[in-house]
Amino acid sequence: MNRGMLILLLLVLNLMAWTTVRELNHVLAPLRIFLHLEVLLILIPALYLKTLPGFILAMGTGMLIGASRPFPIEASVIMIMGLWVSGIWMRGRIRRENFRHLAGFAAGLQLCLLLILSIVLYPEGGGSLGIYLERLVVDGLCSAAMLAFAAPLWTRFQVRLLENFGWNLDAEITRN
Amino acid sequence: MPRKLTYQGQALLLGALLFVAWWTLPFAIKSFTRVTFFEFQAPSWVALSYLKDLQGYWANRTHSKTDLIEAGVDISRLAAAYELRNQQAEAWAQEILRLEALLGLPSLPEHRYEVARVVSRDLSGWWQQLIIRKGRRDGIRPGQAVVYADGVVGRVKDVHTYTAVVELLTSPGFRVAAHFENDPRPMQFTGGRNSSLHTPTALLSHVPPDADLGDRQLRRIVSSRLGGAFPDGLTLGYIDQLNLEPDGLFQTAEVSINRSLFSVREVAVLVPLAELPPELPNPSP
Repeated sequence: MNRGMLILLLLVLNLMAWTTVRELNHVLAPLRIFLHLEVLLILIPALYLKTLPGFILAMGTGMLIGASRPFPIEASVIMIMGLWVSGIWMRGRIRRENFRHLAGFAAGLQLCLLLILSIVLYPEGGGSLGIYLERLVVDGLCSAAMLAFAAPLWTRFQVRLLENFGWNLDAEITRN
Repeated sequence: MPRKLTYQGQALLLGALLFVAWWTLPFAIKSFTRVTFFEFQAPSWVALSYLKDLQGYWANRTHSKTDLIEAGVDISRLAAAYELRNQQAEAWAQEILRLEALLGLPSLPEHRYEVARVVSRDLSGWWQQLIIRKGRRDGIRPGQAVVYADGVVGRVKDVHTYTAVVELLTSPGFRVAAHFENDPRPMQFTGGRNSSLHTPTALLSHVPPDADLGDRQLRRIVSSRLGGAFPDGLTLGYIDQLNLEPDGLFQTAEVSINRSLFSVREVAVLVPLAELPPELPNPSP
């Protein structure tokens, strides 16, 4: 399998994961809880791939996410690229084989993203700050808990699947 | 890619290059990219929606014949009641036409109902939207009103070939003209207060200072035809209190939205009859 096929396969896996996340949010809508799980989609490009294929995959993922959001698509692309660069910077500082490291990194990065979004997207009309913060805290905690559970499992699943296709992601890069 | 850079430096360089390149791209290319990526993933959502329909079908197949007969009897009673109402509505429609001709009034806009299944509910604290399984090929256009059994759902925001995005009335950017039931004075309804687990609310502003709840605990807020998209009299929500603004010119109120809005499975898009594309068949009454 060549590198192009690898990126395509990972993009399809990301599409599957994103569809599942959307379905989860669809089910949780009556409770008015929304899971923000963008970090789940950048773990492989940030922690396992070389810079250029990781960049292409992260950009494709950003476009997938941004296409269905009510903002300009570049906002989502820049957001995902920011997450990817953060992941690259943390590559040498966490052990990607360690489930707890991966869970903590994913949940922490997602919470940082939500904090930034909460400032950038604060509604123009103001409204009730209490309701805004309550919603933010509930969504953030649920998203972090879900990510801490799902991120190690989803990453391990992708790595094992690609191994079955003959691609050893562990040998793709060193953690240096 | 410069080989002397560390991988962190390479990542930053690539990110910066993308930022600059994207900044200089023409809007048409960005718009094309957005539409392409939406249409690329839309089939997966629609396929999932059809799978859920199939699941519902097989779940219904497990019901006993007795259950089905009872359901059939209930539906036939409802159909008989609606038939009577239909006759009454036709008589009223004729009366309205007669009065319009008599007084020289312009005709009220007419719509057909394009029923669509909800594919995906996307309800975050910052945006509230639904994706429905009907699109441009069904005559749906941006700005059209979307309703369901309990009142207004929202407004069509984006239209794609087989799907459309509906902005909910609880979305922060949603604004529409409204009025009290049995009181035609216009007010402004604004969405955007969505706490977790509690009843969603919206804001009613520009309420005349002499308006009150009367002897009722709740007062129904309905849509106004002044905005153009919505017909008159569709439920937006209910209020139980009015607050006078500091300047004393108007009142405001918190509108409680029906919780069933967030579990809605099927909606109807109001397609104006005047805007029907010529290739579409004549709508049923």
